[in-house]
Amino acid sequence: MSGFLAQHGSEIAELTLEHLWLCGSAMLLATAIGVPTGIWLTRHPRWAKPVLGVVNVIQTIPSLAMFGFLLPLPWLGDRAARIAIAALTAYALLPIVRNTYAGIEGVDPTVLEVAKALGMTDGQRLRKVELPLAAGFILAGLRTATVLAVGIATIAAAVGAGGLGEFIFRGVASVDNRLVLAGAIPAALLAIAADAGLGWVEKRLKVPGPHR
Amino acid sequence: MTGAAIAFEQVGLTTPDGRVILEGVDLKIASGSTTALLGRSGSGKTTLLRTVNRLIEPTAGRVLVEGKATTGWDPIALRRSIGYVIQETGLFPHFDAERNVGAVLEIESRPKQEIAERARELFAQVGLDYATFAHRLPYQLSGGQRQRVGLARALAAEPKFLLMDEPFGALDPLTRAEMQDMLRALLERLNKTVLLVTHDLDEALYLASQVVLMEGGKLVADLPANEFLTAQIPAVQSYVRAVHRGTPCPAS
Repeated sequence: MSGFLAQHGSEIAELTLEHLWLCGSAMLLATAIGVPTGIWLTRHPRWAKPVLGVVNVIQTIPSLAMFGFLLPLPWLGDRAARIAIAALTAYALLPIVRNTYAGIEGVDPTVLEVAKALGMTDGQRLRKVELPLAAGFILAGLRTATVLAVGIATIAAAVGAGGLGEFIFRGVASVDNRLVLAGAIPAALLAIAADAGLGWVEKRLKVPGPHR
Repeated sequence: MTGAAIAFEQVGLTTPDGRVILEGVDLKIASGSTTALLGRSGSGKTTLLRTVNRLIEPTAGRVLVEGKATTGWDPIALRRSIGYVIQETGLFPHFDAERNVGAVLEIESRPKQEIAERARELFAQVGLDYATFAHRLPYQLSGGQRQRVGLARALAAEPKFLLMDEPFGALDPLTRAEMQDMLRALLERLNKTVLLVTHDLDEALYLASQVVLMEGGKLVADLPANEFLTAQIPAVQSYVRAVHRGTPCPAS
């Protein structure tokens, strides 16, 4: 075992970093797209159903197929990492958009009316009331999305994007369980760490009190 | 009448599906006076109140604030010049008491120092100990304390007008009486034009100089408070009889 670690230790570290980079970039992108989309939907509720429907459908595409679909695309297909990040972003959108939308929609209408009556502009209402009150909810969405991305990113190795999936695919091909575990265990640990870390932030952001 | 701070002219509201919420309401509110709007649930009093700060737009007639139609006001500026207090206050659950009180000043980007000073002043005015309560969140306050914070918030920007929608409706009778005393003393000092929606006839008579009775979206009486109980208007008489049962049941 120690011989295995000595032999593969640096590679594990490298692939873990690569994995982190793929997931991190995808989460940044998905947040940058998903949160504003969720907010926009609360202002244009007519679009909520179709948009949530689309991101929902994306989620049902098997990940291996998704990577395959993206392969022939220009620019994206040039680099495996781009494909991986695009696919992970697409998967991460659903929980983020949905929770942002639902979180803001769930804010007590009385509080919103008072915000309006006090003379808050739409932007002030969003920044000072809706987003802070929905923050716990939005964070919960980010957390779900992150754990999801960390898991799905292992498949990205299939298109050569690297990450911990590399070990898993190699291990499966050479029937070497140690290699499979060398990919699976760090991936699981990453997911657990992300879950715990974001869970902690979520708790801090949640508005204390008996309401919701 | 030139002294009308708020005037309703033939104000009507019909919902898109044809329900009549308000019909032909004519009412003038004198500057510096307190007017109570009485009536049963669904009589339109809350709706009428909310046309003043444009939370609701009437479908007929117009509302004038300081002689200018509300539609001619910038809604944000209009609302900032009108204090608003509702039942259960609608305090921001994520703001502590002090930040709730200073909310209007905060959104007007007044200097922090000024907001802090004004908050201390307001805590004193509504009878809350600053040191004890300033940093409590709304859920850590009692109903009466929340209502005090809500009132302080409404007064923060020194509005000329106060709209109060059953401000004490959710309180127990003793707390309620305390709040009424506090408000009355405050209003005597502050010279605000107040529109108060209430279910409570005693509260209306105790706080208001003018009492308006609404029924089915129409204004049925507009009387000085001291004439309300003895008025010879059938709608008023039946209202007073229904809600004012002063004498206890004889012991059996």
